Amino acid sequence: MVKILAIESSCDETAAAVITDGYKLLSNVVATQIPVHQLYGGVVPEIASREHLNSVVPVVRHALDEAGVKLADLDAVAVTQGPGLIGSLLVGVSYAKALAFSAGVPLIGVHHLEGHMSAPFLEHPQLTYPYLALVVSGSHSGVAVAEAAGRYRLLGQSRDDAAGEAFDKIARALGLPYPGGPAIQAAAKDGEPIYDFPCAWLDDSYDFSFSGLKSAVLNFLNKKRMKGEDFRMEDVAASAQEAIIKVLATKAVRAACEFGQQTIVLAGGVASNQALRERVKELAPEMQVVYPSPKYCTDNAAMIAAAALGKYQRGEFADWSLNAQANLPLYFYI
Amino acid sequence: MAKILSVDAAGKGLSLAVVEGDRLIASCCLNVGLTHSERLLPMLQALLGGAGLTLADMDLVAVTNGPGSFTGLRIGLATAKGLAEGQGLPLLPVGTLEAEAYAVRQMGAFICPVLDARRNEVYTALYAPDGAEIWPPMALSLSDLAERLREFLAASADIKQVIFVGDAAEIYINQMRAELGEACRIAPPEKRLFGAFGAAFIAQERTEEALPPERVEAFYLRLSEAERNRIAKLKAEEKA
Repeated sequence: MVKILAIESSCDETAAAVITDGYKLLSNVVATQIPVHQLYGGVVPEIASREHLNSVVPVVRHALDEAGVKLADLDAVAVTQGPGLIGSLLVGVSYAKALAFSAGVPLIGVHHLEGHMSAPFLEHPQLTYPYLALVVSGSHSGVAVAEAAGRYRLLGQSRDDAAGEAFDKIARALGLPYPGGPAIQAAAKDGEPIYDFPCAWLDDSYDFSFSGLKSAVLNFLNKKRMKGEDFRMEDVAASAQEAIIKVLATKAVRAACEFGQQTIVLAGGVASNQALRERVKELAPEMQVVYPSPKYCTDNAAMIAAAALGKYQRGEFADWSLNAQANLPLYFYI
Repeated sequence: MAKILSVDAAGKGLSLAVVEGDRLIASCCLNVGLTHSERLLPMLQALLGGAGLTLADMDLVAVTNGPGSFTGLRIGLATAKGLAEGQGLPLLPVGTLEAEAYAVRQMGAFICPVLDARRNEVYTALYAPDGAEIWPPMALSLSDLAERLREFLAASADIKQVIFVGDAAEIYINQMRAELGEACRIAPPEKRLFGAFGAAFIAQERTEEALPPERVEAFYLRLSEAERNRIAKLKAEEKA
């Protein structure tokens, strides 16, 4: 039985997990920093890096203890190499490398997005390639065909703000807490999408753009406040959410049709948005729509472990010079 | 006698050393820009291989924990924590400035380490020629440091010289000479940038202060900018 320890520290969660064959998780530990960053309305990179340095040893130890696995029993140590916040990534990468080196265990570098795209296997190990993946998080929005493990064809990505970033910024403008996605989803449940905020379709491209939407919401709020007109925050939240998920769901389904895919995988933090999930299913009733539970959608090490399992089987190991890369490109080919 | 591996990635230089008692067994230094994250482990592998040692031979890991470049500190600390944890070894943090000062002890001058702290400041401290701390670590502008040193040297009875060490020494030595004249000396290049030697020998004297790796923290000396801004804002609101 293969045993792999995975470490993830690309943003504001310090996480570690141990996985074995068949995508079976032996442990999955996440130390979130959300309460710290809430004071600032968003992730502060320097603070995130400091928190990672303090958490990484106990979090990894906890994951090993819970799995009942000793360092010497591991077949590999995997770590998120990028993309992400460079200071945060460096803590996980430096620690993982040193731990692996010290314990005499091979090292695997994992792309954060390959992690997100591998997350569905944790609960649906029978899932097979190929599939269409919509990866939407606080820092990424992309559509790709996952042709085989480790082989992804990128169809489009965000040209400015990621979908999750748009949720965060709009939430902030509405006086809702960080992270914005869950806060807007909750507010939207009590509202109606009565405002027609702009959607950037970008013609036939599968790229996304959400900065225009963010500006439109800010302008809307300014005008209403200047004129002293009443509006319901919940309606604005519902309308903004609608503008985001409409584009995401439509493009994902269109891409699945164009590229002959029968399965759509939703991944990344924004994939835990219920309205997005329902919309994709509505638009593609004949397709299989797969998405992880929320705990595997937001950043976690279980998904990094899932991706590492494939890399281990393919013999894709890293050497000791492995470096964190803030803008690591996916072995996406276009 | 403990065999100690020490790591310094806090500044521009990157250094590793293995010592036992007063014997320096192996060392490696790089001054090739900020590529510590890529180079540290391959360098360690070569160092241990060359010395015919493994991590299992070590009794303790020492690391410079600040002040210094925030990112450099974290690369050094995260690496040292991983190395220690992987072998079940204790970890001992040593101040970056005292580790750098160690290189120029017993040279008949006060020792002033200066590390680039950005924002037109240096992280600095002052040590007696035997290494005893006179000023604790702090962040100062060059002109404030010069002023303090001028006053300090004027009051000093016998020793009238100060020797600068650290990655900001060569950047600012001319400016300090303009301020303080002949009192200024600069550490030779091989002793200017590399804290691993000092960290290892200082750790040798303090082995009982070693900690489990999870308890070792970085000594940043400065809050993050976001925290400083938040505190300033809260204070302003309090006044209003």
